[in-house]
Amino acid sequence: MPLDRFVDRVLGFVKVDTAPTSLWSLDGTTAGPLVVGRSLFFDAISKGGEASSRGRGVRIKRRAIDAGSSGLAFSHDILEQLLSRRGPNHRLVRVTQDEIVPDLVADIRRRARLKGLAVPDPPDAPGVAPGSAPPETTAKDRAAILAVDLEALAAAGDSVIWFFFDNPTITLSESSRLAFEGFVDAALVQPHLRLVIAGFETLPLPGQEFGVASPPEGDRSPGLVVEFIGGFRRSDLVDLLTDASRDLTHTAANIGVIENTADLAVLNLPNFNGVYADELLPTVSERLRPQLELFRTAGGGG
Amino acid sequence: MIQRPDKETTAPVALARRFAALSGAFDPESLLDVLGTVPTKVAVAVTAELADACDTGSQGGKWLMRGSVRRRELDSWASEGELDQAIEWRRQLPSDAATDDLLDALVGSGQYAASALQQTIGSQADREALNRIAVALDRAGERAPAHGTLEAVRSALGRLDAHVRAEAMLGRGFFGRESELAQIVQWLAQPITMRPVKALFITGLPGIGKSTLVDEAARRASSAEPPWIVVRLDFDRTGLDVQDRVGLTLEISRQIAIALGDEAATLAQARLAAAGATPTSGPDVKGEAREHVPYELSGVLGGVVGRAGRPILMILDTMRCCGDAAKRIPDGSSTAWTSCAIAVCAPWRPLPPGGAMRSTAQPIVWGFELSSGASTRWIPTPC
Repeated sequence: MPLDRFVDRVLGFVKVDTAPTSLWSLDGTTAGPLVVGRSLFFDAISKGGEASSRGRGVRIKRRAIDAGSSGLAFSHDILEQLLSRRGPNHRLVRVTQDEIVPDLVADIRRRARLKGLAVPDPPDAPGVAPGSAPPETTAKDRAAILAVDLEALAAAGDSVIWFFFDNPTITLSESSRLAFEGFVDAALVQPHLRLVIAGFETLPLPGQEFGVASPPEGDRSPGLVVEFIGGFRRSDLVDLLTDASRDLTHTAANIGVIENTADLAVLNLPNFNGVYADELLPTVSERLRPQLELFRTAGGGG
Repeated sequence: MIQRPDKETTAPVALARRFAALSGAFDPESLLDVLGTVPTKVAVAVTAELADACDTGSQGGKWLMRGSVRRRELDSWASEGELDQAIEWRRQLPSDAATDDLLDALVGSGQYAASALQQTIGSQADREALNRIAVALDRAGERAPAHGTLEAVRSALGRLDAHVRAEAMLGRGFFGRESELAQIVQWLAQPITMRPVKALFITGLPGIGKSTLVDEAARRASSAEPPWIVVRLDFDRTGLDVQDRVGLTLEISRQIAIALGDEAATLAQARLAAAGATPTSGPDVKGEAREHVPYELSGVLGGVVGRAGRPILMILDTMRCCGDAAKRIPDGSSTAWTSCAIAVCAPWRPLPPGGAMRSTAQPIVWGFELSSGASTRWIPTPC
């Protein structure tokens, strides 16, 4: 059927069909895991996708490190959803360290290949051969070669390659630490590479750190936006409900309903200076779901 | 859209997760043996669910349950009193070394009994043995009865790493430079016990062997009696930033924990606390809040070093702006240390104000004192 017969009916939908830069539910459903208090992460990923951005990704740190790492791993799922909305030019490579790898640079290369990136083998004679310089220098050199190879691939395909580094659940060896530092250092200056580093709080890493998603111009040196996770505020629930309402009802949010729902969600829950512990998220999520269902119904969702 | 298990798939998914959580890296096909005969729909659901919980990019096409998911599973069974039963169930199934290690670590049996582990650590076990233990204890988490020894195992691994580094740097032998070494030895014989901070400055043309000289000096110092604790901050490592005092203190404490295995757990706890967010009005990032010394960690560090009764040799290698930095680093960290020596190793460049020096084919060893009042004023002193 010729498009001009129905173009007016779909034009409105197409106009508003831009990839959202935030998530309120991991899978977009009212029953899915709700995403609470990650606005800085959304902004940083959104800005980080821009070629001119100084922020080349996010460093996620836990406010209380002994609180566990489940929130860190959830960040990967959020990132995956955000990037999938941006289309195939945003590639995501996940690097986990749940087992000992003898050569982290080689492992990053291997994982990139598993994602379909045809990363070439490193040269036989590295610029700085092991033994001819301190291990720090050798590791930096090998990581830089990999970053340059990845950058060339990404630039050729006009794509952006994102690396998500999971917090290691095993003891990092000295060589892995040096390789990781070297890769972060080399990747930060590559225009088509982005990093999201979850955890690693005790490890000092190269590059600038920014407390906001849009850092000032400064000297243009690249770095990572630092996001602290752990705990949430009532205002985070208001943000979630506002996004969900807009998404599900396709209309402007009803502020009164949203404020009231947020109040009910945290009613009688303990908090410290307005911050609620992550352990309360399941309770809060269940309290929010009826209103999310109402939004869905109001929007004509089946 | 994320698929959620329905009634038909709930039990097989739970079984598969139990299998994965109590295994090392596993062949996904082995899951079929665990599940028995199930409809295709169920097998697909289980595979999808487990792929989400596992690293499916492990070496050799194996799957490995992510550490955070594994911990959650173990905690869940433990809270319901099902952990022992789950372990017994897993022992009935085919296993490999990594799985056996994990199960032993969870019950504290075999080489994972606390006493056996202490013996292994004390017997200078090789890297492979220590790695196996560290991985199993990491995977088992706090459910392992001997989890408390993990930091000591990590320290032992760290000492092996340091040995490998020394081998890489000095493996081809160290020749000459006796005069410079003698200067360093003489200087080390009088470690600093109070302020102002003094340092030994070693400079010279690129490739002349400054780092190797310091490595050899460090090797000798760490073999002395009592052995020096060598802390090396190599600023060729771009992660080290003089603006990031939190990061520097974390790194110093990591290296001291490696040297002092006995107190590694104490330091690890303090490091975790220091690495978290600090109550601050500004962003907790480099150049802002992280310019402050983490005093609690510093205090723990001072206490640990004081109890060890060993002097510290702090090497600042590849410094390019050492005037202020050399003073900043020990500031706040060394206040409780019994004695400390600082060696600064820097590439040749216009030297400290007042110290006009000729370019030379020899590394120049130069003692200097950092005035507490003017951090950028260099006061050359005899070594």
